Amino acid sequence: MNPIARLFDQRVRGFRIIEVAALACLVLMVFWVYLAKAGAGRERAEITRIERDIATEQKALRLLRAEAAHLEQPARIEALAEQQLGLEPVPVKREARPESLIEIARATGGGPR
Amino acid sequence: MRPVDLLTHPAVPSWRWLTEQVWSLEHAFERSKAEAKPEEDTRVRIFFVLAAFACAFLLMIFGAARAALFSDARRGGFVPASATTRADVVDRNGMLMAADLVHFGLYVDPAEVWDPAETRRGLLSVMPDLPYAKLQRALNGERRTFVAGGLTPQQKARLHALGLPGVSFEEEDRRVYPLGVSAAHLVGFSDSGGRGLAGVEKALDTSIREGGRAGAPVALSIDLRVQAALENELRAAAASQSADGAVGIVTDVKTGEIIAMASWPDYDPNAPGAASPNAMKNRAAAAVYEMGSTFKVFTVAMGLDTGAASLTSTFDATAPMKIGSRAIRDFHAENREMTLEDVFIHSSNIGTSRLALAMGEDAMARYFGALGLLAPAEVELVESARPIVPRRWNADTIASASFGHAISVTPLQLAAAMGAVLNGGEYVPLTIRKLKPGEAPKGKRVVSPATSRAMLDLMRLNVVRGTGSKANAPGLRVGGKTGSAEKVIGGRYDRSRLVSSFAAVFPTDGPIDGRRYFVLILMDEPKGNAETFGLRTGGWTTAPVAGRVIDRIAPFLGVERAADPYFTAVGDRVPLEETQSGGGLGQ
Repeated sequence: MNPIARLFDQRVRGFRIIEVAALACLVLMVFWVYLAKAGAGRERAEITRIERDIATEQKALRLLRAEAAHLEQPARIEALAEQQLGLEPVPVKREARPESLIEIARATGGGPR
Repeated sequence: MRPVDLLTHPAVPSWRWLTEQVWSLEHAFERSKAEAKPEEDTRVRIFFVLAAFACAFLLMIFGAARAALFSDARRGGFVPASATTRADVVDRNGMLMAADLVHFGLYVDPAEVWDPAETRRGLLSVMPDLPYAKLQRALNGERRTFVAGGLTPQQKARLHALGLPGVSFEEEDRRVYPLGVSAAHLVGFSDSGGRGLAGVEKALDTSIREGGRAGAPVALSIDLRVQAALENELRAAAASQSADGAVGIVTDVKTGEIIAMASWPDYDPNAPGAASPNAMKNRAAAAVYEMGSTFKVFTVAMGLDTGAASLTSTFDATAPMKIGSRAIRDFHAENREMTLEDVFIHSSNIGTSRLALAMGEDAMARYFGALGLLAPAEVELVESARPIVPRRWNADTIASASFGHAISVTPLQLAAAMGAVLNGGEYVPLTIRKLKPGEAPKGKRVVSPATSRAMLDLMRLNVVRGTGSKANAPGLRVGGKTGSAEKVIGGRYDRSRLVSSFAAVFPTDGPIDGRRYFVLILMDEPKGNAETFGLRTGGWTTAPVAGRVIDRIAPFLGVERAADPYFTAVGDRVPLEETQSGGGLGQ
């Protein structure tokens, strides 16, 4: 009797070992599939929840962006700067570039010694 | 062994008990046979199968209850978070100009309403401007009815807090223009169904819809800071001159990008229904005007380009010029021989008429066509109107057209044609889309680079010592040409009603293909005020506006103040210059 045939013939308390092993395997696999599916379901629910949160936040963000655009519009800022802060455009003669600072300092008598 | 024994014999592993149970079950058949009670065998098996099914059902009941109580299914699936009906419209720096925001529609289901009077009172207490008749109809109706749309999230929250049965809300996208009247004509508006009706909303409708699905904004060529400065100056000037209307345009002559575009009077695109047709008209694109002397830029450029004249050619302006029964006069007659430079700087109608006649009808018509003055401006805006051109070109019409009469064009056409003369000589169509940095569309050559250079210098001279002196923003090397056209009222030119304009370009120096901006300020029927000594011509009404606009927008466009042969960087006149004083009148 070859070993393979013996494997099929060996019994424990009247059950073929191979059948018991196959059954155990099957039960394990069913259990594993259940676990995997349950886990995936949970993850999916979590993803959906987060995506819904993102959508809600993005809607709020759009609203805030529109509000900011309204509040930041140049015409409004200009009016506020003039009325509330008393700011006004810089006269041309008081504009200066960083490169010309030394010349200006010399001209006004305070240059490097 | 019974389960109880397990507690008293903890050493016995539980699997042994399980095996014994299964084993006894497996041998029940043999046992019952041995004990000669076959019915018991069947009973055991039936019990076993029932028990298995009962377990399965219990599991399913548990699962179903869990699904019913804790499932997310009824809250709806996933929707792409950024998808909207229409994309955001932003300026060239990404500042928001138009956006779809979530609003809510209000619905009433009379079948669920307990107390119609209380419901009505509650709704009206939060939203007093609800359409009363519509609400009444909904409350007395039979099915769920839409009552009002466009509720803000705050309004919805307050209504929701009332806890009225039968009142429900549905999300809807609504177009919002956070800038209000700013750039209103350019951006336009769309209907509640998400279709663009005017301005960019109509012109770029397809891109905006596609962008909305992809969640990507549509970028315009506009710079909001430039737009705001232009609008601010234009509005102030138009109001102080009590003008009927006003137009301001800023373009990049190299790329054809419209950097700013304003039309006055303006309106709020958030409530287009409340605006008058007059306010909603985009005068920059949809209105045609006889432009007057700004056209002399084209005539002189044609003269130089065809070789019909050079800057030193002379024209006889000693007396009004007769064409048939008509006499062409100069607004400020010099009554002398004039060089082409003088013709331009003193804005001589006689001089440009003589030049036009010397070139001939065909050449004029060809150049006008190449400059895009005979067809609607090439731009995405559907408002772009058709010009009114002479039915046929003859001596009379070309003489008139040489100083901007007998032909009516839109401000956008004028801007595109000026761009072609001032950018090195190529006609580039205007666009409201932002081009990629460094992208320069290939234009059609109209005049030579040398002609373009000469025109830049002439326009600078005109500001230094001609009719455009009030546009001289310190250090920004502004060039320009005034225009003041009498309006045709009842078939006759009315001397008291003018369309005054100023076409400016800056900086005029630097390489011919360098960065350069065109600014057009136009006023329809300025009335004159104390500041302008009651004068209404372009040199007095629109040139100062152009100067102020350029002074304000140059930093945004990256143009720095610098000296040129005529003025220092801070605007002081360079001495030892044989200048005639500026401040003359523009015709």
